[in-house]
Amino acid sequence: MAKEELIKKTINDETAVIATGKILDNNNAFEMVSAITELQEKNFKYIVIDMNNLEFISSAGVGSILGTVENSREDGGDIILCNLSQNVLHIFEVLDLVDFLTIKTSNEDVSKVCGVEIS
Amino acid sequence: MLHELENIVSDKELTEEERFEHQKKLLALDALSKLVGQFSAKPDIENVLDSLLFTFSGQFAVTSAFIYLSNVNNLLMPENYFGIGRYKSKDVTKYISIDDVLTEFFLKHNKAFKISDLKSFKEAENLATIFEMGEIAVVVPLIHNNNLLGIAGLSQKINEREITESELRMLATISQSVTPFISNIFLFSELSNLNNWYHDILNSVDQSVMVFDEQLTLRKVNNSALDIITCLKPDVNADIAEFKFRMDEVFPESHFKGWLKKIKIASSSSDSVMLENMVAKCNDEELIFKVVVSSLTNGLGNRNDIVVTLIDITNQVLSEHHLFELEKFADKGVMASSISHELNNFLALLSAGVEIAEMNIKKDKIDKTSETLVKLKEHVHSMTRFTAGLMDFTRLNTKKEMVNLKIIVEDVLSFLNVHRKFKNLNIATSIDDNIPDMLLDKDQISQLLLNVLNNAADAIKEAKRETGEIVVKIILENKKVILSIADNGTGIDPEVKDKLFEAQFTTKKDGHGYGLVTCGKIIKNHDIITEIDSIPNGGTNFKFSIPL
Repeated sequence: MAKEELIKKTINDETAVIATGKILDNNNAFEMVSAITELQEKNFKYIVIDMNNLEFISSAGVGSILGTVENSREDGGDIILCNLSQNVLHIFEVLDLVDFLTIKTSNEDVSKVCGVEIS
Repeated sequence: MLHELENIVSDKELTEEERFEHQKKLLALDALSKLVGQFSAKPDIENVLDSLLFTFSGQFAVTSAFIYLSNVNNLLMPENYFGIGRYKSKDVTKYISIDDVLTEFFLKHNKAFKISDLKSFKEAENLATIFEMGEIAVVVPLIHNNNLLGIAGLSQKINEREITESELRMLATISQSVTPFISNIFLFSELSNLNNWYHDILNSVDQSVMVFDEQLTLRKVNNSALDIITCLKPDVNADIAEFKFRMDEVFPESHFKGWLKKIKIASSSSDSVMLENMVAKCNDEELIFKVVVSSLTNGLGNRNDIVVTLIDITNQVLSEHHLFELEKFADKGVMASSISHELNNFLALLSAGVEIAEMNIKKDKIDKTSETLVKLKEHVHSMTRFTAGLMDFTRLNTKKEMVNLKIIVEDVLSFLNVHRKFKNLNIATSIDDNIPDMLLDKDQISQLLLNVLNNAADAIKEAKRETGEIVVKIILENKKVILSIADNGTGIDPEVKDKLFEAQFTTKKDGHGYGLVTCGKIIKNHDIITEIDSIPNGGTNFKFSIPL
């Protein structure tokens, strides 16, 4: 399976967005972690993961986010998942992570968390 | 996708809770199949083990996990610890050691443990205590073929939830499923290191090694072979690690007439075959190789690789050619070049002497003229002795008498001073007063001095010095007299220095080196110890220590 490319975008000094491809699984989990870690090292407080294009996320894909979220929270920030499809949201429900992770259904809700307009 | 997988596995009506459990297992299966795919492909070890850790994290809702591979000596890997989350930067296994007792324990209990449960086992009590301090909640051994490869550990589940028994079984299942592949990583790593090792060995040899597959496509070369290929084919990009040249492209008929056929025939033999004298032109230089062709079968016996080794024998052939020429002369008993060289030296002295005599006659200096004529007679006498003795490489006629080296040097220099070659050179002398008489063959020492001075003049001319300088010194030191001749010419290459008095050696374009060979014999006849100090383009100092 070909690797899915991640697209990164900076909103301001504190907020950046990573847009996923169709699949986040073992093949690109490492890239997701690298992307998140890079932004955390650059002191981005809020990292928004736009899952608008995401059709499937595996356990490893979930783990790539779970393994990095505490770093952001320790610095007073967060990793925010947004624009999840029903299928993808269901996976987070199966893994019982909906209460733990910050999942927003719309850009508007994301903006409320990190205080900036996300388009 | 989960729904599609569900339909494959079960069409039974499930409760919400059962569905979630089911789907969790499906996710685990999906994760496992992807992990197997990753492990099976050429694995980037770090990526693949991280992938396993991410799977643990997502599947069991933990933010941190680690893998510790205890069999690191076999692994030959720089890292044996891999962690994510909190355990990424913190090596939680730093203070543990997997001893025989612990190994025995895990081999006996090949399952996942909550740390709280592990504590109840005496053999694992210490480990459990350390892990508890490191906030590790669950541990699972990684076992394959009754070998403990290492352990994996997970942090507490998010929101401080307890891991369930079902999840512990799932963790054990996933771990047990991937340990064969982790074991393979050892093999991959060892193979990779072996491969690097073999390549290092191949590159350490001077011979050029090329491996062709049975389709005669180049598969592997060592650095020496790469140098030859890029020399013969300058358009090749030497940075390319692998290039798929066919054998006929490496040895084209236009450059290696008939060689492709020879190599192909040789490769059909079960033994190694040596082929002689392949000639290749490289940077206007002709290179000569011995070619060894061997065929290798792989372990299954169904593939033949052809190994072509090129051994550069260019220098050896040239030396043999020189030696052959020497032997030709020796066989014929004719040392024409040697003789003419030595005669030229004598003629130089005679010519200089005649010029001096002419000058003195013009100035009516009869006494001086007589002196010069006496000296000329001596030189003619020496020449006669030389030709009568048939100066060859095997013997010199030696006639020693008590003479003073100072006189020999002064005689030779006085004649050379008027010779065209030495006219524009500053020749200085520095001679101790107390030089005693010594048992020397005057003619041979004159010859030695003449040859060295002649070569010094040539070296100065080659260096195009504004001021050519030669300094001749004689000093008495302990029980020997040291004669040194220093010049500011081109100097001698270090490689050349050692061979100066040997064989048919010369660095002069139209030289033959026989003069210095004669010097070698003279040196030997007088038990002279020779030292040559020289720096390329920095002049040369010949130092002859003559025993009293």
